[in-house]
Amino acid sequence: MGGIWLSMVKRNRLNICGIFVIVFLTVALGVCFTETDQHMNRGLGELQELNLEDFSFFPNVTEEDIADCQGNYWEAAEKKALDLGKVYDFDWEKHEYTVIQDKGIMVRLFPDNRRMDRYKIVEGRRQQENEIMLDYNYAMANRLKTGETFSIGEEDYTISAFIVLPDMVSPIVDDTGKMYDKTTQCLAVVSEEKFKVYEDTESIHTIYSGIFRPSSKKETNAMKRDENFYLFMERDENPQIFSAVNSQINMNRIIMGFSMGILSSIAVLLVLITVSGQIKGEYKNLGVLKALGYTNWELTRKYMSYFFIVGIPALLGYFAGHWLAVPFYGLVFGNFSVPLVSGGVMPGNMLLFVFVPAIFFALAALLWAMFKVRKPALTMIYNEAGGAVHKLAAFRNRKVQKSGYLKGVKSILLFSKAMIFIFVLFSGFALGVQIQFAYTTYNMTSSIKELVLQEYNYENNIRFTEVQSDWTKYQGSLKYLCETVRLKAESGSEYYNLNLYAVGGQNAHMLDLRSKNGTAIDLQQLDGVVINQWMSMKYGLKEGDEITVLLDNEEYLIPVAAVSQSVYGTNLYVGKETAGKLFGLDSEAYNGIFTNDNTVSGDENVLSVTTKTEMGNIIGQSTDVYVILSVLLFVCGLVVGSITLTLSLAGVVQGNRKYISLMKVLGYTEKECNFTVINGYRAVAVIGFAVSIPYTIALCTVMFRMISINSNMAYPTSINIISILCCLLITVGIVEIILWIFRKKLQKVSFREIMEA
Amino acid sequence: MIRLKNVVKTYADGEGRVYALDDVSLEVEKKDFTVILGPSGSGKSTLVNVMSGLDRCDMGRIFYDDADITKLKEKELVAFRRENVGFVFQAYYLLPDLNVENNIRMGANLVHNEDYDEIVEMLNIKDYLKRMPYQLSGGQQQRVSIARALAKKPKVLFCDEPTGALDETHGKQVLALLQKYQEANPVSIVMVTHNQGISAMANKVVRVNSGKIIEVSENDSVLSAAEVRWS
Repeated sequence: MGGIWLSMVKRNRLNICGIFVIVFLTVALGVCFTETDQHMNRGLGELQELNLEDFSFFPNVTEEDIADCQGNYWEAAEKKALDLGKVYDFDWEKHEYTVIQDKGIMVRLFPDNRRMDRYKIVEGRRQQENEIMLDYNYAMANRLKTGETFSIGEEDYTISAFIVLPDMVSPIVDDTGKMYDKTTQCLAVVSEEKFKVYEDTESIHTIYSGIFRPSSKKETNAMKRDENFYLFMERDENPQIFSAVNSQINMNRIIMGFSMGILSSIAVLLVLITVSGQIKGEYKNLGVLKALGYTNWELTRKYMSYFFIVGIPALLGYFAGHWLAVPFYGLVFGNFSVPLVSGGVMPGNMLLFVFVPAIFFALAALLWAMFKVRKPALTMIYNEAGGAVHKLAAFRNRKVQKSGYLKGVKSILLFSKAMIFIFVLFSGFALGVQIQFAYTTYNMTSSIKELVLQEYNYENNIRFTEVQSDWTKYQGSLKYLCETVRLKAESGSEYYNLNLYAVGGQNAHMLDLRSKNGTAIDLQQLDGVVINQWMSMKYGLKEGDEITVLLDNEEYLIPVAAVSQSVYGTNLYVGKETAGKLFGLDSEAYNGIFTNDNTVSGDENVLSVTTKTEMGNIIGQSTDVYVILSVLLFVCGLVVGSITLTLSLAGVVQGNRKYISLMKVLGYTEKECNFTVINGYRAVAVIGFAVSIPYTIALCTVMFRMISINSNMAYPTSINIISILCCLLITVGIVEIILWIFRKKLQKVSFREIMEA
Repeated sequence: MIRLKNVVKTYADGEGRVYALDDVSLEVEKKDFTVILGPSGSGKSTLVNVMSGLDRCDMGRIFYDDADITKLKEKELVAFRRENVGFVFQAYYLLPDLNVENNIRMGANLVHNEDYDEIVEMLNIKDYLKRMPYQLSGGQQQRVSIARALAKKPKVLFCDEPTGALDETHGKQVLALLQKYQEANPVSIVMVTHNQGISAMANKVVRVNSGKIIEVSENDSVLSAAEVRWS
């Protein structure tokens, strides 16, 4: 068997090399993506075991509630939470933290008192007196080690452990609106006693976490509507818990599905073409052997060696993918605090990515060979004469004009080798799809940043804790009143949390809302709300639709006056005057500003500050990974596309050597040989590319739409003429280089080929 | 017309070199029917290849009239073949994806000859023009191959064992056609064969062995193809 296998490899070395590279890449990428996904799922699974909350909430504490509790707000809040727990059958827990800024570091400090959303120790042990546990990402980013000292203000702590918090999978912002940055922000846990020290000096942020009891009906939509909840957010829609990470997982899976689909199609096609070519080349000899008395099994069993031809690169690809999975996990999910549970070599994956394809291809090759040799020996021996000509080629023979003879022959040759034709077509298509997909992914990332920041004609978005009356400090700012509202879905059964910005008319230029075609949207002139592209996509809304919005438990039917081109965020915008008419909001009440001033440092009234730079950073954080992925896909696309094109064009030269050598003998020039035999395939490859354009646009639109719907950002499909032209240039460039190489090869095809045939 | 002067052609064979043609000199005149005879491996095919400009010799000169084709560059050699020579092979080498007519036009197209009906008539293949090669017998395929060669109006027609794959009846048919064509047209024919009988058709017979010409003889009278004793 070994001898047969080696000789088979030698005779088909070019195709075998192609199969080797493509199978290797396919399996390596597949294993890398799959194991990354598995690591993430195992990590998230571990977090779920930490008594992970079902939802976060805050009870709506009224004046009456406070009065009932003798003016004690927190007692009233807890009583309300208790009542709500009884109504909706859930357990709850109050979670507190404080934010401490010290030496350029921002620490979100939690007391070690949780029963829900318990931390997981990744390294080290639980804190004891004067010890602290730090979040894993911060520790890694700052190269900290357990046992080292970590200071907060005057207080020195020994680091006892690195942890992850299940309710902070993606600690995007803290309650000050400051964006999370693992190099300068830290989640930390100290003992309850230590935490109490800060309670006296720092402001404490509080949120309630809830877990449904087993007997609960889990009436989440009723809870969202219930006015007794000031805030209610399920963990899947909470960007700090699952929303952002799920979006990333979906993107990862979709890219994996796309890449694997294309690569495995190429691998299947390439193996089939190689087997087919091999059988064709040996058909006559097989017929002779059959005539001599060899059985079909004896003739075809050597094709089972495809088990090794596919299995060996698959095995190498498996280990490469396995080895890459952990760094790739860090690349794709590095911004999330999920414990890495990598595991070793997984038999299931090895079976799926190595043994299944190896067995599949071995059986496919064997069955294909058995199918081909089923004919009587004589038919096989004389096969070259019978049925070798494609019907289309025979038909085209009749269409060859007196003038343009070579053109006619070119067309006949193109259609006479259907497999090669399809292979070249598919190669152009695959190259086009892969390059364009990489290009589109890359374009998407820059578009997102541009589209999100485009409306920022201001540097800071400052939210105040309550409605302000004195605006003398903010004369140059654009004021707004921000209210939390809930959007009722079309089905009427679900609600989504949104922010309603009722924006004043003064300094309106600071909020530069634009429609998709770039036209400026004048909020003050509109009789409805402005939604963004993400909302339009997520909720299936368009200009002119009406939406049901809940504000303070009142339902309002509001027209959608415009859709802005922004792709991120849950903000509804409405002119202040219109807000008064539609929602009855106080036309003089404002609780925030869009401003270029930076005069709020230390202002106690400030609830949060979101800067344009930080927003750019957070968008960058979520899109940078796609830049890297797009480069990876681009390189893979180029490698695989070039290989398939090379192999397909090699097939063209190989399959037409007889023509080329005979034409040369007769006196045709190199140029005429190239024109007749090779050049036609340039057009075929370009047609393949052309087919890939609408395919990629449709694919990207569907894919990005799917991701957008499952995340909090609309991923724009930004294929434009320039990018298509760039991709076309790349494709044509590769085709031309390969054609040039093969033209050079053609020059070496001599008349001897005919003499020795 | 064709003059070979001290032509040497060698091939690498393991560590040494084998002389396929060893100091060969030969002349072929216009309208000559030259038959090259010799056992397998004697160098007769190599002789035809270098004579026709398909292959280059290592030493020596080959003149067509006064033009030395050994001095021609590759492109010029292609142009020379295009204008001067035609080939008929033992294995026909018809292009399987082209029908009979398009196979013939593969030759005719080179010299922009659109008037090859006479050749088609003469070779008796008019009824097969739309057929594909696999639908023809061996003799029919060889006639198509000859039509392709003649359609380019060659000055010299090189035939490498044109009857080698045919039985006597079909072989003689093919030879008769070649003879008939030469009678009507100013073409020289150089034919390689191991069939001794065919030499009676030729006005010049060249015997080759071990890369050397061992005898060049001329026939005073030639036989028709039908009279040839088939061996």
